[in-house]
Amino acid sequence: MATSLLRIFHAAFQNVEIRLLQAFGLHPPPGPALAIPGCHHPLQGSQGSDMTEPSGLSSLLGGVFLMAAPKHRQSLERRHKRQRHPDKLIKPKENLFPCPECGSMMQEGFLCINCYQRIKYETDIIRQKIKETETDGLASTAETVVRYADETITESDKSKRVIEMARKKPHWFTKDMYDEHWKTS
Amino acid sequence: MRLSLMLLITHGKRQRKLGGGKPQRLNILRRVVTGLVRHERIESTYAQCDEAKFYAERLIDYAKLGNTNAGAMRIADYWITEKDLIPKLFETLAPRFAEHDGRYCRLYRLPVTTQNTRDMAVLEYKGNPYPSLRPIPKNHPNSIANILVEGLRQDYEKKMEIDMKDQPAA
Ligand SMILES: [Zn+2]
Repeated sequence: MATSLLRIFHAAFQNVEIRLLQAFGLHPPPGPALAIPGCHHPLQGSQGSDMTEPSGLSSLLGGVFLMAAPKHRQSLERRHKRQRHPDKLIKPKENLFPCPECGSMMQEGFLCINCYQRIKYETDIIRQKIKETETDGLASTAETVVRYADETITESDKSKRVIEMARKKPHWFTKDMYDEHWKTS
Repeated sequence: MRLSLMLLITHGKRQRKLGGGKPQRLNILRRVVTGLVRHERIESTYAQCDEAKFYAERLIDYAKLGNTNAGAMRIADYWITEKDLIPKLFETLAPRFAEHDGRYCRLYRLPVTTQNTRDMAVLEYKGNPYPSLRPIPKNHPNSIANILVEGLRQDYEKKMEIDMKDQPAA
């Protein structure tokens, strides 16, 4: 205990002595803690003695623009307050309900994606058939009606363009899925 | 220009921006309206569908004036870029909506999923030959739950009738 204290005091007094000697110019000054030697080309130095190359830190960072950087680390509390604020969490959706057709969950104000994929597949087939009937890619002026293999067309549809489908009607494609109810409402 | 409460709140900035300027916006809208006239049901982003719906409905209003009207033909010539669709507009779509006023289009939003990350929508003219996207809700009179509830209701009505007959006598 006593020896360690003595050692510390000895080191401190030595430090004070050196500083005092430095103040009176009797001791060489200490060098920089992180000294970076400048790159001197021996050939260049011998040829042009009047051209003085920048040496040290300024030559290393020549032309580099230094940006501002954070001086201190943010505490965990501050970081968590910013990152885990209740406003930044994903909010649970309250407007979900099962689709009346297929039963998968759908959002209010949106289409059921399960039903839409099924209808889109059928729509694309019908669209492809319509494209085949059109000569030279010119659009027809007649109204279109789709007839499946197990169906008969009514009297009112005879003036329209009939798209014949070779296969049977899908079981989900019921009669009220024809776009007729918009006329009454 | 649409006059509405929303217009008052938003200081006249009702339209959303499409593309990078006025000509590009009109080109996008003309492309969507032309596709709608050809296919009668299209899928595009919600912003484009919502903006084009207004113009598609006004186009039908002009088409109702007839193909002899010079103004209507000029409007149709501007908005339909593929010219084989102009007879279809005047001879098919205009008679279809002859007895109707205003709302000729339907707009449905598609849900945003991991596959479909853009906000998409479906725009269609009414009376198209495709299966309906929103069928009418159906009653199921033959399902077991509905049969039981119907029987319970009939029993309850019978019981109430007997009670009403008994009360005056007592
Ligand atoms: Zn569904």
